[in-house]
Amino acid sequence: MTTTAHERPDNSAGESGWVKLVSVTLSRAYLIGLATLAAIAVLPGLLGWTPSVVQSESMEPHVATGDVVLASDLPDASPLPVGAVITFRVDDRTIVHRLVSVNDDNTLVTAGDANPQLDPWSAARSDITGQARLLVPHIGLPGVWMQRGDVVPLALWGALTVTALVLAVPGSPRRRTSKHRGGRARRPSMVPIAAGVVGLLVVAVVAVPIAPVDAAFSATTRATSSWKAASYPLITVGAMTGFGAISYNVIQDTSTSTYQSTIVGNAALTPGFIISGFRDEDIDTVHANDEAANNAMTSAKAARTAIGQRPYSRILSPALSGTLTGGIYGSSTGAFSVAGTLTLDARGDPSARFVFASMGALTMAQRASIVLVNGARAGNVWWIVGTTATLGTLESGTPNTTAVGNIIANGDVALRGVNLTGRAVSTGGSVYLNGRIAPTS
Amino acid sequence: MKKPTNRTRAIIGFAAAPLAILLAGGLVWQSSYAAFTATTRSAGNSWSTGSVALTDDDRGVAAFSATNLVPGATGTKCIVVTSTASVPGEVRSYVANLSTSGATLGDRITFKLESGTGGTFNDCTGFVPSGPVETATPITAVATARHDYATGGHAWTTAGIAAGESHTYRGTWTFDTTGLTQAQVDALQGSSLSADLVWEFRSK
Repeated sequence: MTTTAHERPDNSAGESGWVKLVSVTLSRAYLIGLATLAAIAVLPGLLGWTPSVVQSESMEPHVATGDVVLASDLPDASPLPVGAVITFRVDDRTIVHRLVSVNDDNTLVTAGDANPQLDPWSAARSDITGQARLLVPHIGLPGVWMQRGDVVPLALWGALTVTALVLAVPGSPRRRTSKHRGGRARRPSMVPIAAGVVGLLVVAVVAVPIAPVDAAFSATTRATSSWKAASYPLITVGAMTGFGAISYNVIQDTSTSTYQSTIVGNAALTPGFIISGFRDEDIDTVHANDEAANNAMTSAKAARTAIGQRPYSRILSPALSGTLTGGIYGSSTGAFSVAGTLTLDARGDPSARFVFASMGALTMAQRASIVLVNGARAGNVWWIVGTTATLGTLESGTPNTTAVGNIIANGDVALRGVNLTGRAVSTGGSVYLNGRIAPTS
Repeated sequence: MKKPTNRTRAIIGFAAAPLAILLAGGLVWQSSYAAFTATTRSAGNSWSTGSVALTDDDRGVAAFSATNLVPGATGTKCIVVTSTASVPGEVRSYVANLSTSGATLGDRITFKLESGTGGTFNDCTGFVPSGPVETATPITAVATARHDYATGGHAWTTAGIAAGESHTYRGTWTFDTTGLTQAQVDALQGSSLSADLVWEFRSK
């Protein structure tokens, strides 16, 4: 103010009068507005509407912290108000969010207007506590501040309100006294009563425990994950069933006359056709270049391919001995040899598979033996040989080497004094037998 | 300027109260109208500054993705989860959308999630676990035990730093066929499993 009372007494008096009128009027308007908001927040409770104070910002920009949301009950018969804002309970909290849609299983899809993502929880219709009808802005803020211990805004608001209360009561005690001295009967002023009502309502808003409602923020991020177990062709005897020897070239009994080799099963030749040294009773059936022979050879190659696709479970040093459990074993040198006794332990699992796959040769010493224990089956033992398989050393006499498994070699398979439970397959050479082969499936 | 006359005082005095009531009522009506009559979410492109976002650094790449699993196969990934919430809250993790095809691979993929600091996606160098010691558990069991926020684990309390605060999680999976017969292992061939590892933030 640039003028002073000394220079412009009238104007100054006029201005101060206006200032007083404006400040009194603004104070009253503020208090009455506050009281109105408070009344709107509290009174619909009498109609059964549920007031709740919003605690967070996820419904911005329309609903902010400190707003009071009044929700009406949702009658059981009424349809779900898709698109509307509802209050509902999740994990012991009340949430005010928008009902976006309803899933096929009748769970609710909800979202905060300020949340980019849909809510991660799924409420059911029975969780709905009401549909939001009225929003009384800001009136719950003092309560929120008080609850959170936000002293500064609470103090500022308190000071503002107290100031307004003081200003709203017009006149100073001095003026009132002089007025009343004039002889008029003192009329009870409505202003202090109104101020009292306003004060009470404000206190009510601060103190009355209006249920807090969360416009809870939530957000999720996810790491997608997928696992797929490897899929391999079966390792199976297949069409080799019943065959004890399958040869690319020839199958020859190399035993001397003192001992006659036998195959307790069939023999296959493809594309070769020469089988020599066997009597008719030494072999069940000889299949030379027929469908059965071709199928048996195809199965042998398929089994070898299937094994080749699998990773080794362990690489062993070439001299096999001791006890091994199921697995696919490679050789550190490319060859395998059995000098003594090799025990294959299935540990009670009849499906346990023992695969020995090498690029090089397989050899077994005379009198060496392979022993199956704890349910191991000869049909589940596989020898994949890159070059030749030479088992035993006997040129004549009773077999004294014990072998098991499906031996599938690129080159020749020579069984010299061997009892083989399994089969001998040469995919590129011949099978020479001094001994006995008993095929297994 | 003249002093306000008594008549002016009276008019303004009488007008102030109804005006204030009308204003307050109008404010409520307008707010309610704006908030509760729209039936769609706000346009979708202008999220409030108060909104939260939880991101991870996998850039949309499947975090744990492995095919051609053979028994004993294992893998480890670190994922940095960043919260840009402006309000304090808590982030928890759980498993969602578990789906299996074929045999029960989910019982055979064990998963261990550790919470800590350091490391980045694809590179766990510098990761320091800070939570309790975790044990590897079949992923189906994890999904049963931790399937939503309420049952979620690895609680990480965020302070509400809008500029972002991060936490690292190290996940280790193993294709564990211990105790299975070869036939059972073979039966798992080609079976697959997918699941989402979810981190969820909720404001306090």
